[in-house]
Amino acid sequence: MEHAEASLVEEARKGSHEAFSRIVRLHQAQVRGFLSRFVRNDDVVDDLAQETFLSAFRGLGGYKGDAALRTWLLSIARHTALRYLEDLRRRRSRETAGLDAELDLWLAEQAVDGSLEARHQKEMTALEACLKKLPPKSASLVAEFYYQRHPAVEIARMAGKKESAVWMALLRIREALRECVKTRLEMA
Amino acid sequence: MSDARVVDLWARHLADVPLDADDQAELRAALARNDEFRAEAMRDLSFDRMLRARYRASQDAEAFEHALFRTLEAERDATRFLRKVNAKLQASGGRGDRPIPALVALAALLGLAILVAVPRAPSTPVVEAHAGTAVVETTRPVAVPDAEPHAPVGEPARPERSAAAEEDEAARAEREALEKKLAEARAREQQALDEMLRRAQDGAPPATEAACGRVETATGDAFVLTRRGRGVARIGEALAEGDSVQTGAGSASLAFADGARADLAARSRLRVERGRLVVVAGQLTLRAPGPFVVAAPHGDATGSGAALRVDVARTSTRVEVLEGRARFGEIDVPGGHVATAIGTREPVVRMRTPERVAYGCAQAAEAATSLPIGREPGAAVSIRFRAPYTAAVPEVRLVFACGKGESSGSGGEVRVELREDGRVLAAALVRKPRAQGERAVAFDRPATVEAGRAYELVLANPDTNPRDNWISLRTLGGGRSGSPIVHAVEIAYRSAHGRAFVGPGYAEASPPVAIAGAARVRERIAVRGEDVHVTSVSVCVRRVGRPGPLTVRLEEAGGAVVEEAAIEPKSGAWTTVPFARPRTLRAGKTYHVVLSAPAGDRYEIVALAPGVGFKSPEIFVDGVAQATEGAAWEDLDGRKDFDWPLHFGVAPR
Repeated sequence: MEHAEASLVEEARKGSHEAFSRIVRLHQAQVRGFLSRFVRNDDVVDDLAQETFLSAFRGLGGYKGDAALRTWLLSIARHTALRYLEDLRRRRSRETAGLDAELDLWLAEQAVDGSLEARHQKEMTALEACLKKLPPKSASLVAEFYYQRHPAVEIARMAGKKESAVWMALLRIREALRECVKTRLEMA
Repeated sequence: MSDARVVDLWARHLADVPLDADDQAELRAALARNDEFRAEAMRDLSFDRMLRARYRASQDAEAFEHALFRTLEAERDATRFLRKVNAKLQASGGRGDRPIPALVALAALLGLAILVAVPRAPSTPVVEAHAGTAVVETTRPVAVPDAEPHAPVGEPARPERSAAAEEDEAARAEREALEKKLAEARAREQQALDEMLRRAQDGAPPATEAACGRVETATGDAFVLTRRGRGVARIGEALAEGDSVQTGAGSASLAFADGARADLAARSRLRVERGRLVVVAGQLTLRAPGPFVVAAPHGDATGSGAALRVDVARTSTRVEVLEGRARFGEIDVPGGHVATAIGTREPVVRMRTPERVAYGCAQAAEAATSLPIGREPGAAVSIRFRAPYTAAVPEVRLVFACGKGESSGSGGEVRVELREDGRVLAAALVRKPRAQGERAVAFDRPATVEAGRAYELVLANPDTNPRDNWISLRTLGGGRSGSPIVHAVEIAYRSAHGRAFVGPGYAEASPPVAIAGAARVRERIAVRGEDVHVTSVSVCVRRVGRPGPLTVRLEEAGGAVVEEAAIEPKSGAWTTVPFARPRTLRAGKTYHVVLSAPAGDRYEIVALAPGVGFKSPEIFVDGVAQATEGAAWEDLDGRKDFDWPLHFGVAPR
């Protein structure tokens, strides 16, 4: 752990909200991004992220500094997400849950061990590099759909394309990116 | 993925296109029965989540932090309060570690109320169960040994009945005060809860939620998206952090608490966040009297006291600074300049092309009036203008009129001053204006002007005998004739990102040409660059006698009529012919605007040519003035740079 971060943790342990606020600012993007891998609904992601930081604040006394603070926070985030999903599972059977919730559960089953925290940053770095290699049209489509949140139907309308062309293009772009990320991680 | 139908359903679902119940069932069944498909789908889903995570991480950060800190603050207050209650009870009641159960319950309720009342990110009912979990954990510190003083360790616990009997007057008063305080706090929290319940019931904007702006105007399809859902934008509707405004075919104007005003164009989306506006798509025009942050995919536009337009397109972000200056990412963008970031490339800054008010030659020699410069002592010619750029002005270009009645004697001298609010920014002296072949007048020092601010160009005659020695400034057009361009003065602007000349540019006129019978004139227009969307055509002619109607016809190069109208124009003034519907002049194609009239009395029209050395964008390079006596069409005087006073109205962007 870097010295500056260690002293922030130390101050936060003593009850400094200012220090904890700085920790939140440093890591909120990572934590929220990480939680987005478990849960699709953005509002739920933010709720879980809030829960993660509140738990971290209360549990700072138990943080020994063995792992990086980020890894520790991601670990709390994973547990928070799994607890939420477990709750979801108890409340609804898969048949009555929405398809998104069901897929969240499918995904969660693959993330019960702690390997995702370690992989997350590497994968995101590789993804960043791969996104830069996308052809302009594909990059534009990814930005429109994932960043600007344009519905696929609207993208199709504006581009004068069939809707199916848009969702199939997104599928193929994901496949291409996946291959690219896999190659990068293998080479690293 | 082998089954095309299932793959299509899968791709649709991840593209957020709703599946009906049957489709969902089909996809579920495929996921359940086909391990290979499920494994591949999970890999794809995992990647979809990675992409969402990548963009999610950068969004709504401030709103998230704000909500979290408010929750933390509330938790701290609740914890501190409960500790204090516990300590007070121990100290005043002398019951060791046995607090009064009702007060503890009350305190716990208060803690619960504070936490519930703290605005949180919207959640599904399931997540609200998590909020409940948090409350349970929040109450834990009550049991934790705290820093407040406890009752002395060695003091023996006394029976409850005898303790009450021995309670002295001061302790009772203190406890009553504490209970009163608790009751008041509970009432306040109850009020907050009631307000929350009312919000939930009627969907009205919360009174406690800080409204940071409101909808001023909304036309056509314009919507406000809040945590409560999406609704048609209503005039006066409050906007809070986290709300979005989206337009379809319509537009919306928003006003913010800090005095900023934002106009959202059609097919645009804007999100209001704490301390910043996020342009998700489309075009936003912002006028901010104070500091501002406009977030866009390629970076933040920041600054203070400026007007700017931000366009977010598929692969690019364009930041145009209309007034003041701003930064786009790490790059400084002066007023009148535009920064464009395309793809992953760094933004490039350049001077923007002044907004086109007309397509064609929008001056009229018919309205020419040469203005005497300082013929009367103390008299001067003043030309006011609004600077389109933040730039240096090293020179101006103008035309002196030396004909009969336009000058006298030596012509005097002409002092040219560039002023702002009466203060002279730069000056130049033209000693022998009659002999001036050159029309460029360089200032003693370049003045710096700011885009959007008003300035004045003042021309005076410092000659000792101005009544005998004077000269005129030649002007074309002007308010009297309704021309959108007023003066034949061109101002040079120079910045680190380029050089531009702004002004009408036209300065010289031909003798009048007749329009009657076989004598017709036309402007031949070869559209360059991009398509031009036009809504009307305006012409300026002079009547001689009582001619019949003037026919104005827009036709394609092959002669096909696009628009035609017969008008009775005023003499020497602009007459506008609106089109039945907007027309598009296609880039690369040639069109004609033909003016004709019956034989007999006639109309006259005067062609214009650009001034020597003038480079203004107002010079109509796409057009050529042509005339015919009945045979072939010929360029007027064989020149390619003459234009008829004729222009199209351009549809607004």
